[in-house]
Amino acid sequence: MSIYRNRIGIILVALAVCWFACEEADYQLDNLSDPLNLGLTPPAIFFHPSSFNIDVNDTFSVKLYSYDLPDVAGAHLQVLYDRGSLQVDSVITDTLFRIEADPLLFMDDAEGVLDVFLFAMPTQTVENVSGTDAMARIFFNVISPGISELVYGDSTRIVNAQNIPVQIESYGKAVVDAQ
Amino acid sequence: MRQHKLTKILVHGIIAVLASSQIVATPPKNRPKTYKKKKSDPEETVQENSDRSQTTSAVSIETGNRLAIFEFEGKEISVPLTARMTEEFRNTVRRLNIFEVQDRGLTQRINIFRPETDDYWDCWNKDCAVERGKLLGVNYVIAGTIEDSDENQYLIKGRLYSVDLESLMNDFSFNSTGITDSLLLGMKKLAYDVSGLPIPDTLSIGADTTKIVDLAVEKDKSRFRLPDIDIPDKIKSLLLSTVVPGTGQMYSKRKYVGMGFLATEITLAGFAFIWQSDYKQSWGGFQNTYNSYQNLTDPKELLELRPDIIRYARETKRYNNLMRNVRNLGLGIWVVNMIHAYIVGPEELYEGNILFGTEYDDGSQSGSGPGMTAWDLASGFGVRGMMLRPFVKNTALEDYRNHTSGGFKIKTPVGFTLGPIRTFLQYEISNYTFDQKNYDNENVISGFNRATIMNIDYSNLLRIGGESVEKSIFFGLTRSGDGNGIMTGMDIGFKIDAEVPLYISFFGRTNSMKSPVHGDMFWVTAGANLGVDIP
Repeated sequence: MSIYRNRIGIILVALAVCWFACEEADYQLDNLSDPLNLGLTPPAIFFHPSSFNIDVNDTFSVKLYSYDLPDVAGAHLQVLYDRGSLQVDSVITDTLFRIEADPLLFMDDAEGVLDVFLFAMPTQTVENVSGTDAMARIFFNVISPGISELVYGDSTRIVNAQNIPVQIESYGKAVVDAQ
Repeated sequence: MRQHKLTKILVHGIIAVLASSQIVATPPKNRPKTYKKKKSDPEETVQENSDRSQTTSAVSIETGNRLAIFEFEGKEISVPLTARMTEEFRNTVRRLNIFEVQDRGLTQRINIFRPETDDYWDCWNKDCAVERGKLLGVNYVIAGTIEDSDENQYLIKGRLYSVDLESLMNDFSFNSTGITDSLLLGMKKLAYDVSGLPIPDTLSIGADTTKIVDLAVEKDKSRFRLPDIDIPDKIKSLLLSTVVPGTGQMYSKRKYVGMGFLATEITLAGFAFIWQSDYKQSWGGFQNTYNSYQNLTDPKELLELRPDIIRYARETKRYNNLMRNVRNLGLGIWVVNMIHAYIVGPEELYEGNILFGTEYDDGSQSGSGPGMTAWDLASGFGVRGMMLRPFVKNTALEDYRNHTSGGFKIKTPVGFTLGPIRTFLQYEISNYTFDQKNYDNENVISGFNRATIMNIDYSNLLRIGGESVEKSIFFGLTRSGDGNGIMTGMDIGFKIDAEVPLYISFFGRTNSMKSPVHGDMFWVTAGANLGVDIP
């Protein structure tokens, strides 16, 4: 009988390891940086990050971000800021308008209104870009304390390769708390 | 798509097993046997009796050969010894395969019919024996006594009655000298005598003395014997199938139904292993992407992670459901197997105290009768579930971790015999998984190796381990999503039971694969498999 018990034991161990069910994936997609959690309707443009706590005399950067843009080839991004609290240090291009070469960038900063012009450099096969990505990056210096906003101005306009404007459904904004 | 195919295979497999079970579920008819009169033995003394005139020289028992052996009555000897001798007598008669001997538990039912006594020797006259035989539903009964007539002198007496003919068939007695050297032998001789078979020369005093001494030593060595509880055979069948699916049916002489249940459970376990491996990959991918989602701040990356998280979550749910389904199906079949084992438990069976049948199995279930059964067609096939794990790999895989995988293989009877060497073809599907980090699909090499294998069995060439150890080497061609390759290896299989072709094997194998993505991959795997072969 003990022989059978040994045999049964072997078979039992082999079978017992097979009977399982595992944990199921439980998740919440609630990251505050996720464009889907920003309350925007695409196509949209927004600032990333959308809030800053900065000390006076520090420098910070904010990305001008697109969210689910259709095919576009150029943009005029007008950014309004508090010139009493912030000062534009520099503007650089980012990845959205980069096809093979970096896009062309022009800027005009006057009395709290920063106009950024971006133009993608088309290739023989690609002349438009699309999607969710950073278009440009602005570096600000904090010159005095205060709470201010960064918003897109009314002149903001994004066009495709045929210079036809794309309808932007939502605009994001950012809050800067300088101390 | 792959899972869909697997599910189809599973469903077809179950249907096939159930259909086969249906075919063999009909209990076999007992072949008529002829009872021949005992041959005389110079050592025994046959007593004359007034009923002797009713003894026939040759009796056809085509009406049935069910035999109940009442507990021998002990006179001047202990009850346990009497019970032991009676059981030895029963087992010997059973093994001689002339009668279908009713199990002790069933014979004891006479207590229910006649609770006033369990002294069956009282039932010495024909009318009493025939009446009790009818109550037990048998064709023959034997009642007997063991008497300590003198110092170490034992007189064994018994009578064989035909219940159908309502007559005394045989009256026998036997003198035995010394409990340790010949009482057991005497019971065996008596069994041959009752069965009408010549007593073999091997039943000599010397041989029997040795056996008794061996038995005594064995009894001393066996410290973990189960208590001798008289469990009804139906309950035994149920318990066996509860512990290991199919074994209750095997105990109840429904070997192939039992093997069907066991093979089905093993196959389901193989699928469970495969899906568990897929689940682990998806779970790893989910954990990686979800952790990244929670920690990252870049909107573009977060947006890209979203569909991966959702996909991995769906996959984990899907594989989990598949595992639950196969588990529930397996448990359902397990329960059905238990109920079936109880139903077919040997209430009316008169043979088979041995777990997996008797060595005198007449093969009446194996489809040896006229016409071809499904089991004849399936003969030579086998199925085995396996677990395997790589432990050596080449540079193409050195940055990857090893994982335990599962699979199953189907043995076919296709092959040839070359002297002592036998070959047969096998088809195998096994999973392989290597990963760099937590099973993420992005960092994993995983797939199903579908292999056509030629197995070369050299057990007859190298007889180490005896007949119950199968030794073979194999080679085969493999195909998977990562590329084609070659597999070689060796396998040592142990037949778990002498009567049922249930095997557990241990193997080592090399796998080489030419992958257009990962280059030339090579790894060595060790594993074990468990399964049945259809004889």
